[in-house]
Amino acid sequence: MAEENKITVQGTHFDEAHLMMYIDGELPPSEADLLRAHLLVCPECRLECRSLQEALGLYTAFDRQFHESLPAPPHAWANFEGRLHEALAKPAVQRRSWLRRIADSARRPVGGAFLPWALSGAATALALVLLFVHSPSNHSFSVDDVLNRAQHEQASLDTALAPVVYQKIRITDSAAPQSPVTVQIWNDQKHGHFREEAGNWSQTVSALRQPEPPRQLRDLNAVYAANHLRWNVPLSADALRDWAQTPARKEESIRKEHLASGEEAYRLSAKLVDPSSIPASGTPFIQAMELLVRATDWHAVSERLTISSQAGTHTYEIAELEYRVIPLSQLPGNLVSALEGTSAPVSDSGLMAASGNASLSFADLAVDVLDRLDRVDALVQDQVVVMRAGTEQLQVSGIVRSESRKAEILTALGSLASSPAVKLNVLSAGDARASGIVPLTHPIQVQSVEVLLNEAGSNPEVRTYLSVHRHVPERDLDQAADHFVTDAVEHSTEAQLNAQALKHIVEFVPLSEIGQASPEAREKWRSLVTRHAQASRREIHQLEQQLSPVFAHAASSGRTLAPEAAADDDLRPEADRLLTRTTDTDRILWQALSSNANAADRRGLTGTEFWRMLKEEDFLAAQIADKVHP
Amino acid sequence: MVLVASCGVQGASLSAKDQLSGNPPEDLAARIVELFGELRMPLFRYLVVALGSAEEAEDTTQECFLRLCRYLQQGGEVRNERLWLFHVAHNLLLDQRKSGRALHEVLPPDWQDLAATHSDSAPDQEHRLLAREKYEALQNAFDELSEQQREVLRLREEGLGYREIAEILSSNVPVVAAHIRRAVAKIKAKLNG
Repeated sequence: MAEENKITVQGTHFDEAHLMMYIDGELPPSEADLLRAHLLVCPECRLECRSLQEALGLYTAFDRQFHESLPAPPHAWANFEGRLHEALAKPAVQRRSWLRRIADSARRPVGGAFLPWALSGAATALALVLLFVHSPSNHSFSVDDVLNRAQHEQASLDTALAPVVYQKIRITDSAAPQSPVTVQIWNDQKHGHFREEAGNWSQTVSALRQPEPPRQLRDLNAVYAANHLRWNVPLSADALRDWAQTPARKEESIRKEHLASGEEAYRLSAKLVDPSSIPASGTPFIQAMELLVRATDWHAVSERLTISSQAGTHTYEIAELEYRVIPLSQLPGNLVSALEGTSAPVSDSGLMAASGNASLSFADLAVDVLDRLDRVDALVQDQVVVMRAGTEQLQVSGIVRSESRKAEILTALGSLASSPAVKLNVLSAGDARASGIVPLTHPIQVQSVEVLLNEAGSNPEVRTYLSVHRHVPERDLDQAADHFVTDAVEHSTEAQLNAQALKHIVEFVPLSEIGQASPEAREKWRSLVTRHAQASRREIHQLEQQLSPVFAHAASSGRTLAPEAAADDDLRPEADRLLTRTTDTDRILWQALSSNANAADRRGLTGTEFWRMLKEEDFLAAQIADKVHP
Repeated sequence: MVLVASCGVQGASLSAKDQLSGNPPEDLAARIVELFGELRMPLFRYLVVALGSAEEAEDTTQECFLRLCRYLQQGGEVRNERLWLFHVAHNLLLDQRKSGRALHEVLPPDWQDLAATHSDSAPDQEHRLLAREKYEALQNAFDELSEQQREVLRLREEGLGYREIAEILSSNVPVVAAHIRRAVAKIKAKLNG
């Protein structure tokens, strides 16, 4: 199953799954672009694509024909009206459901004090673990589904990559919100070694030795222990599941959210239905627990605990700042010895070298990274992306064509490449293949579009134009038409790639945030935005100039509809629309000019829509450039 | 649309994006009727093929809409009704299979019986029909697909995207893509062989 689920680029060809998703319009734009460019130069993939299209088309025809032969509903829907009225007449009832839970005693803490208050009367209480399910607003996942996936993901990581999990978390106690504590944890699960570090304090423990951390951490660990949760895995799906399984009625809910990075996440919450049912014992007990699980990899990224104790109710916010699974071989020697229980200090593990950039604001750092990447054209050529990683870090990711290109990009990043605030995830195509990483969002760039297109110059309008107006002799017509089409596609692709880079820049560092950056960073950001807006515009103009003599009639009739004016302090809507539009026109162009275009495809360039969209693109790019230079 | 008139509400006044929680029941009825008109046939087609009985499919289709009605009545929010309805239809099929009530997954010979029972639903002559041989080859190919492969292909034909299909089947996009890919590979092999 595993290898069949992968969407991979095999050698220099795209696989069937990729091609099929392309046909169905299911690939993300960046991948679709690469594939489209590849199809232009690869007759084999083109052939494969055509045969898939044919099979899918035949199946569709079969399906329609079959459906037409199916019987009609025997009662012609006659009784629906009555049933609907009946349903509406009944009063609405709260939907309840039992949530089945898998007893998982293996996940219980080893050696921890077991069962004080919680299991008293467990037999009867267990039958009362009534959980209200509020999940149907997101009917695709229940709390259980997400927890299962998160735990599964965790378990497979642990077995595949153990032995050491490194986690950096920030604990904020509502009793002292001004002084959060940042804790680093190394957990060598295989050998039972565990190390925690917070500020100047550090503690290395083996197996069951009890730690004595600073207050917030000590209190939190105490809460975990008192509630039978593993204190050495403070932020995980296990914690929520373990707590949810304790016998006391809980109310659960699930909600879809977006993280700062834009990724989807699920917020799972469970809270006691009746906190007063907990017998007073002086032990702090958990009233409610919330876990935010990232949907892309089912990783828990933050947790909020509401605690009741004699001192009252307060909350802990635990945010993950960093998470890695480190092979033992990659650990610096001093850390290994620390984990082995010696007292060697963990001063500089190489994982978190002291930073000279601590005074930089996030926007400054982000702009600096974008600017350095752009200087080697990595935003356009390699579609390298910069994302937020946690709250204090950013991550540079991408798969680039070669080792030398990777080196070029790392050199361009200079000292930032080794800064702890910047996480690097730039792989060469070879790295990616060797590590089995699936380039889902940014696949390997297989080639460049400068290569001559095979049999692409078959568009009759183009051929007529070249022959009649440019007097190209018949024997050179194929080649001239190929050149013409190559040029057009290249302009279109460049316009689109620049629009994509532009969108990335203004989404990662929005106009509204650039005000907080230093004057130098503001200037850099402006020139980044302007450069890509103008590049996009230039390519659109060239495309228009090249095509308009051929499709003169349609080109002249294109009207410009000014898009709705967006807010002055936000470039994102325009950048987003520009990318959508350039993608649309690129698709129309490619379809109309490709060798297997049918009459309908070719009409794309003779209709007015294409020309109207080009004008709108020009307008949008100009508007973006204007906005950054008021 | 009889119901709309009887409720005195213009169904068209509510857009697909309207959130219905808290709206008076007439609005809800109108909305459900409007959706019913729009989506009952795609759902019916999906269900009749899986259930093998037009009668049951008609009933289950109605049940899907009634569930939507009850869910909205209780203050639930639905962004994509089409997806919601297919998801419920899929779950009802699963329930029926589990309880043993489902007739069985319908196989091509049954389809022919099923189709033969209704003469007035004969294919429209204006449509371009597949040649008999090709139709039979495709039918054989479809017959050889796994249940999941058939299901994803059917949902795809009803215009649902991979992500939506994945949600309906509680699966993920790569798995859906793999099912479709393998199904298409079988179809291709059958057509060429």
